[in-house]
Amino acid sequence: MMSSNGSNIGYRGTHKIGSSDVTFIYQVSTSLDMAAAPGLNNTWTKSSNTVQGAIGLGDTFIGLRDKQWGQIRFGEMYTPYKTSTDRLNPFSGMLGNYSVVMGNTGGDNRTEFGTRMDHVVVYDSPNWSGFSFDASYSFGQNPDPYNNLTPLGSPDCAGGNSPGSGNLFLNCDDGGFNYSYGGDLKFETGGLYLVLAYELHSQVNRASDGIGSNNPYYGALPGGGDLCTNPNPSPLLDCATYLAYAAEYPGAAAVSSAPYVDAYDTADESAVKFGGQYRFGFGLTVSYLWEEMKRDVPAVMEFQNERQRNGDWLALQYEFPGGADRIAAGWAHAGATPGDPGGQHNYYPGGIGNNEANMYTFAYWHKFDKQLTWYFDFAETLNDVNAHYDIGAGGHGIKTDCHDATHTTFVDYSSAGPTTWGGCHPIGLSTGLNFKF
Amino acid sequence: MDKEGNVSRVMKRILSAVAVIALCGLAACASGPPRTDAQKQADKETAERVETALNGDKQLYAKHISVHVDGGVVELTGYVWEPEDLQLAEAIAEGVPGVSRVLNELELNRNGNEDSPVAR
Repeated sequence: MMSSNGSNIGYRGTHKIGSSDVTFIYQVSTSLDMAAAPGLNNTWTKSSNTVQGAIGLGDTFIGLRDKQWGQIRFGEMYTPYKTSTDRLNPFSGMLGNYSVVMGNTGGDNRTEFGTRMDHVVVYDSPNWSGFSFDASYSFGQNPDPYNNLTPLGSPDCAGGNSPGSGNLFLNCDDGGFNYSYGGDLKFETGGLYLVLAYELHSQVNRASDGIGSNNPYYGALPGGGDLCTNPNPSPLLDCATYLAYAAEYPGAAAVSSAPYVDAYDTADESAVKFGGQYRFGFGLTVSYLWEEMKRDVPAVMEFQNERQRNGDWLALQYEFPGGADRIAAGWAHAGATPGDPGGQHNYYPGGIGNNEANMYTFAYWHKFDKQLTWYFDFAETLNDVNAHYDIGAGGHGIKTDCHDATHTTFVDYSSAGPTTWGGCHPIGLSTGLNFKF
Repeated sequence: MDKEGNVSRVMKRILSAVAVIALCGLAACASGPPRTDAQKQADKETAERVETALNGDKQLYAKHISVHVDGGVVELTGYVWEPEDLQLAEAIAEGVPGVSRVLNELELNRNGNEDSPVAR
């Protein structure tokens, strides 16, 4: 297949304010689709109302800058949680880049921590003898107490996805959250770079992790509203609302089902990572990153908590003498999660907790000159039986994941949507050209 | 206190911090002796030498690097695409005659569609 991976174009500038040293800064940026017409991202395996190729898809902001106190920016941009460790990821925009695992809580083909935020303020400090820090705050702007709606002023739910993506209900219960804040602390001297970063997403709605689940705790869709009349209805279902609705509209109730109690599966999610990089004088660069992601849910919901785990990233890069050629190898590890929601993928009940994954990446680059570089890339992900990490999340233009075209409803009760196969073994080869202008 | 109250408190603290930082910064901007014409000329020539050195390197694509010099202190802003270029640009600038120190404020460009949202 052919894709455009991270191509972008934009404009940035500065405007000195009076006789002071304060400078007004601005930038507009957009992604370029080199391989297909731009439009809404609604395909078989991705669903978004964001138009890539329109002005504004990229770090777009206004702000103030001064070398004494740093800079503050307002707009849409990557947060410090991502930018602080970009240099540890030699495979940016390629198959097998570290975002497949790092910052990707559920192993879906999107990266939750380390993504671009809407309506965000970012402060970047100056550099004090090698130390610097950055901080961010995103306003959230969600009108719903459980963040089940699209934020005001955004095309998509917070955290990615348009309402209803994945054949879910038309809301944001697949990761919608409210405000977010985070920051980083960095130190650099000589060839050494150390970084500590943190980010929090407030009240993340994961109710859809249970919709259509074949876990006996749920089963609402295949069972319809009858579950509420069972002797022991699930505490996760809002049976009171449903039964009142059924009494008022008995005809409509017969073809509907009880809603989930959002409050049960709406909780803060946070991520912290620590890492470093060392550049040896003979061309070798070693990068390591450790990450821990948490979701603070009640014990009753832990069985479907696939958002909490540890992760590791190790990358080795060697630049040959002369600087025209370099090679790199990377290894990412996703630790086990407390639970697994099942439902949206072919969940194996006998493999609870068996959802670790390892990704291996190798690449070669050759610079023809300063502007034109050719690369060759190989990536492979080995998933445990209930893991479904891919090789393209957070970087590659076309998602290369564990979906297929299967419509089978016996493994995916929620819909006739594409099935994600746990335990998949994606392998990819990619080659391309990178031109800077 | 309810959750909305907590959010409001956090917002007020953040906005207060931003205001303090901005005021401190503006106050700092007012300080510092003005440069003489000779110093300005020397800094201008140093900046030109740094730009020439950056653009003359065989590996570094420096078109989007801006150079500002104040009293021999070089400030590099703008962006590069490769992580190794962050250090390479700094090392080149440090080797230019007349440069006493380098403030490296370069950014690593990682833009485009890296976060393209997708369905599960």
